Amino acid sequence: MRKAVKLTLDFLASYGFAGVIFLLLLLLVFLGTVEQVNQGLFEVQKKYFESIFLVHYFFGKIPVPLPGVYLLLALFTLNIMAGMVLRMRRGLAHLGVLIVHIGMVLMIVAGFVKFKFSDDGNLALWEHDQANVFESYHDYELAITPVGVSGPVKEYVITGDQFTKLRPEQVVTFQNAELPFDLTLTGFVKNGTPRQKGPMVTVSAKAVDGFYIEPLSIEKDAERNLPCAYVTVKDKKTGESQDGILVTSTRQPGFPPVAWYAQLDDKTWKVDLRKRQVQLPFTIVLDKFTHELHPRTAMAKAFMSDVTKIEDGSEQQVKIAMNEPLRHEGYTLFQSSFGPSNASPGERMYSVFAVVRNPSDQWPLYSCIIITVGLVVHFTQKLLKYLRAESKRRA
Amino acid sequence: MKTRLFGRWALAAGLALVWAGAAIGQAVESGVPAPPTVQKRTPWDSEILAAFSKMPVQDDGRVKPLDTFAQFRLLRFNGKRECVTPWKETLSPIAWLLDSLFYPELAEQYKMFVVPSWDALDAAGIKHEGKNKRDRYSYVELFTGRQALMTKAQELGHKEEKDRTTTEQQIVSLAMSMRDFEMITHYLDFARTPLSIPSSPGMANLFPNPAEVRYADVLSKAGVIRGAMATLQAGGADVDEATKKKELENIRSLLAQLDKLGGMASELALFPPSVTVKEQPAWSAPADLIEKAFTGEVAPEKQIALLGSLENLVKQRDDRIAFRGTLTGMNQDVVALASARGEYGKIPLEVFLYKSQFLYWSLCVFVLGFVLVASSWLAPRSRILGNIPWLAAVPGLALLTTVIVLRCIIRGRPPVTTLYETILFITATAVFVALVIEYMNRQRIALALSTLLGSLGLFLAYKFELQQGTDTMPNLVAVLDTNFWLATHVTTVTIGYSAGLLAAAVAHVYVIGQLIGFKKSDKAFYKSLTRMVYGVVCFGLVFSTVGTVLGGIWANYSWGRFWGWDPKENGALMIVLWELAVLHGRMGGYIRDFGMNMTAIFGGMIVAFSWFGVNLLGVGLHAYGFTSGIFSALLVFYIIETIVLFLGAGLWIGRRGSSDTPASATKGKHLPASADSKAARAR
Repeated sequence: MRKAVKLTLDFLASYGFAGVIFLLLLLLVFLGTVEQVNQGLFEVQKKYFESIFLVHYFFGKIPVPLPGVYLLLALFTLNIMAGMVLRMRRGLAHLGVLIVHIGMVLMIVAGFVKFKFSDDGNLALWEHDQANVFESYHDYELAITPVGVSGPVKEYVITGDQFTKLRPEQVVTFQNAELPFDLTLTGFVKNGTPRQKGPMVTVSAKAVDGFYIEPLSIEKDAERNLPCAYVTVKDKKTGESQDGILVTSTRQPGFPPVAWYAQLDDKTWKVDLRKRQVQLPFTIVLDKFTHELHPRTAMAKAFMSDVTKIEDGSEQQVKIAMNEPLRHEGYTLFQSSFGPSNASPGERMYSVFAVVRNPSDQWPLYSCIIITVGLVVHFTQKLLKYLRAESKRRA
Repeated sequence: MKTRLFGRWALAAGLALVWAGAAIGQAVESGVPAPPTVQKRTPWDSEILAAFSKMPVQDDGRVKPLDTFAQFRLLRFNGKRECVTPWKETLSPIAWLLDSLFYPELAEQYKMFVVPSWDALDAAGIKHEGKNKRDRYSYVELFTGRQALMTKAQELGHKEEKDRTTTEQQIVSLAMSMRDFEMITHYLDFARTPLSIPSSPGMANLFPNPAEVRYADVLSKAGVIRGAMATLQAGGADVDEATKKKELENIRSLLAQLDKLGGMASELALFPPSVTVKEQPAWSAPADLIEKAFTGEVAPEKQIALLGSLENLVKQRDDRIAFRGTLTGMNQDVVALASARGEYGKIPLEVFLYKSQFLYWSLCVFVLGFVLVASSWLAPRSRILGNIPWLAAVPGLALLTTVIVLRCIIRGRPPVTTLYETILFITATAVFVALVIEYMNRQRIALALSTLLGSLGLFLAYKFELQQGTDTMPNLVAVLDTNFWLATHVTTVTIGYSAGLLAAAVAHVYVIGQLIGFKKSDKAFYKSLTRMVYGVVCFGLVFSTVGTVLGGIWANYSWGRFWGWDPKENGALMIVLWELAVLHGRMGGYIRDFGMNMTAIFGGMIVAFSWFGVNLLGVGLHAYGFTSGIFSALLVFYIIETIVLFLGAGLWIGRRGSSDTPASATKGKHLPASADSKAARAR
């Protein structure tokens, strides 16, 4: 038994194991890079870089099972830890290598923390508008709220993981004791649009009020996908049902509100399939968006947003520009985009901020410093050794 | 999100270019090019050429010498920085530009359009019988297919460059070249065509000598004309209705003339504003002045005076003395205005940079150095012959470094901001590191490689510049506008590229040497090469790792995420992963000397993928780094490298099968092959 444990540990700590992990990582990074031509980054990322196992079709035909980057990084962490404990030689001569490996562990941990515990999305604001929520790029949710109620309104949210993996033929019903109805979803598609049935359009799909959901091909740019589903609200008291079509709503400029409303007794309920919304601990007002071009060209020289950050009644003017994000309360707002692209001078503009909450935000910087120190120490020692050997050889 | 942003701008820029030529197109399509009124002109004297060379112009968003504008336009059209007239005079770029501006009827006869294949010509119905593939075409020769070419190019303008076929791309390029040439040849049409001043009391009052009225004269009275027009329109003038109507028609007729010919004069923004850069960053072309004058803005007096000088130059084109006099005055005024805005200081330096042709001389010196190194191999024991190549390698590197430094000064930027500059910097770094290695081990191998890499790198820079045909010191997109990250991330990561390529180059000596039996019995020689490769890979790992991580940190500051699996990021990571795999394999005793060199060659292929290959994918956030037209060069590189690797692998397998080699004695074992493998011994 002890021998088996030793053998396992030796294997985990071995250079060969490290080498194989590097080569597999190299292969996956290459495949994931080239694959971005055919698939969008989001899909590629899920398949190659955030997976445990995957099947890659070489030349589009030959299936080859491969470990995913997620698994490889976990194994690599084990390899480094085991290597540092069991294999790495002690002493000043090897200090640099030890430092480098500590830096790499920190880097991988930073990546893991980011992967598991971060939030990201974007916040689009027209000039003089304000918001304290941003919406996720790729996550969705179903929000149910009563309409026309005075006082604080309770929002019932069904998280996306409960319905975004549904196939169109699958049916799922959500129940909540506080709600006067049960809600059923079916016909879920990851990207779709409602179309009107008519004399010239004959489809077998279910129709609601003359409309049906037409599935669309998945966009390479995953942010553009707008899931759709059929919804049925069944009154708990009367057993009466109301059908509707849910189309994803987004807070991006140019997208009108598309929530569906159900009427039960004298109460109206808003059912909103939307991109997941994340509450910010402060409010942002876009005061002014500035977009500069290099003279006599259409090339952007700079774009920046003058914003007011409001928190607990106090206001602070901040400029957010390329390479100059706003960092506050664990959230970072970056200048990402703007519009309308064809705006004439003086026209009201909107600005889009990428918003990130990443607990390991600065860890890569610390890791970089540690790795740099380690590499410099190690290779300086190597260089000096080489120079001594050369001088000896020539002597 | 950002990809869409850049993509949108790229598409907008493309459409804008098509649109920009629309006005000129209407004028050009109305008839065939005018036959030359003269068969030859007096050569431009050096004073005129020098004055024009240093005249600043705002182009592509930056102020540059007219000489730089001329160089890159001619390079794009002709594939070289010179042009030969029908009377066999070889023209410099600035002389060609002067001909195109002041003698367009002659310039249209110059055979200066390079056409990479005949497919584009066939598509436009342009005849090419009796021509060789390398022959150039004059504008007049291409004109027969102009309309068809422009129509096709306009259709293709909505297709992204990466989605076009080679022929489609050639059609677009040729159409754009013709259009850009027309923008130059028709630039001064307004000054060549006399204004027709209608005969009326009002006009006579404004222009007492109607036969000699210039655009500048009309613009200087723009305020008066605008006022008169307003008065006439309001019915306030003390004249009868018929006269009012006639005078209004006369003014409109005059404005229509100004708009028709003046509107074509938009290519060269030669007139600096009289105010500060912050107040008004954009310079003016004649078309802008006309627009300003009649849209209610105050037409700057100094700019109108410069416009007048330009018109005078057109009229004085055959009188070199008068021409020179007017030019001198105009040049002084432009320089004074530009200097007051702080936009002239680096113009003479840029003219000097291109005139000095340091890169050309550096290439010559490197080639000479390589020849000298090769000669020294004939007498391997001669110290004199062995040291002479230093006299080529060091000056070659000095010239190249001078170019890099001058470019930094001119742009106020770190050394690497564009793909072109990566070539210069990577070449300089590789040569420098090779010379340092040579200084340490005196084997003449690194010295030979320094000159070879210098030659190859500068040849690549020359071909890249030719292929792109655009200014190599362009403005930067907003995200790159940070000298700190350009100086840290970009510089370190390119040093990493450089090291990877240098290691591959040394490894070639090893593998090819083994293949051809060079110094067969000199094991120390090959050991030394492996040590060099190992050392350079280690050096490369430091810079690649730090550079890649710094890139992530920059991305975190700029885009909000450390790592986004973008192709360019992945390319850099692949280099790091490969070097880590090799070094761990080496430490574990899995990779011996031969393997070390083979893996270094493969590493060179990964560097090439990261450097240029990912740009061909056409996806990712680094859209500003995309380039086209390098596929064939990259393919040739990969074919050659694959052959070398296959031959090397064949040799290695052959040796493993042979019983008298040391390798066979350790077959199946991971024994250390060098002093670097103590770790394996420790096991």
